[in-house]
Amino acid sequence: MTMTQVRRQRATKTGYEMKAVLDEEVLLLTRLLEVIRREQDLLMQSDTGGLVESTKSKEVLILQHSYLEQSRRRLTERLARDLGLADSEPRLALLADALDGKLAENLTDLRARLSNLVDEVERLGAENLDLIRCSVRAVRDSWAMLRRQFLMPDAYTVRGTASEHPTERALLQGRI
Amino acid sequence: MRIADKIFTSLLQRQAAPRETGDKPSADTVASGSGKTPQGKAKTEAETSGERALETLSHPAARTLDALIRDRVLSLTRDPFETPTFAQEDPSISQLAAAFSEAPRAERTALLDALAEREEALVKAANQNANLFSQEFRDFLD
Repeated sequence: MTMTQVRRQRATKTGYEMKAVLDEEVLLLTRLLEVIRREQDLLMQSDTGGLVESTKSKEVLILQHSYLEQSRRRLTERLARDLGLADSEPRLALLADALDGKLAENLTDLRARLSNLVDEVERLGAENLDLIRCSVRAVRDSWAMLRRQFLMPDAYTVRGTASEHPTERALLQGRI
Repeated sequence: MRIADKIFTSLLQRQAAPRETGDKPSADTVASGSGKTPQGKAKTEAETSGERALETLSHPAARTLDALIRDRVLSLTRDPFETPTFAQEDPSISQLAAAFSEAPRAERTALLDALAEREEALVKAANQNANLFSQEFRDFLD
């Protein structure tokens, strides 16, 4: 067997290992997408307890993804070396093109699925970020308003209208 | 939370604390203040946050505030260009302020704790959403 054939055989084996890792990433990102969809509902319902739980689930999934990414990077380097592509930027499309048959098809399909998942996760994540920014602003504004109210308790009448004549006590407390 | 806010919370907590000769604190107040159950068992973060969550507080001021914040967030989904504020002229805001001023100090503290809790949960979620994938991973899929 020639050196090229040995490398080719090794590349196919590594390619299947890569496929296994990418399959796992697809499963993981699908779960992450579900969590982010649920997060959007929780943000709209202002459910703090649910949000804390969702953040924890997301943290676990992100951590698992980072472990898979370590394997994926290691396999990418090995595959690129075996395919003689070590000098170029080892992208999945390039690696899939350099392989043959079913494996190449599988990797091309996985690339499309992962790209779609990443786009969708990022799109929803950005939408959630807008909701979070709005929620944080509302929380901080209400905090500031209640703080003023605590320090100047007579700033509002019992009917809820702003007092035109805050008492001396309120003004004194306002100096705290 | 800003330092000024932390000082303010601590001030509230000191004022909410029972006097030596006054009423004994309820089991719930102790649990909420120390992060422990009345039996002295440490609670998990989720149990504590669920207990302190604004939506679980029963005082009318907490319910009004929860509804107000939810309304502000939903207004964004109705009109992304709207920038809702907490103007004092808004009747619902002034009603909230009045309800808050009538609430006992322990309730006020719980409400502000819950607000701080919500802010913390939101900031954590925001940080996660801002850093979901590495550039290297995106480049790999390009």
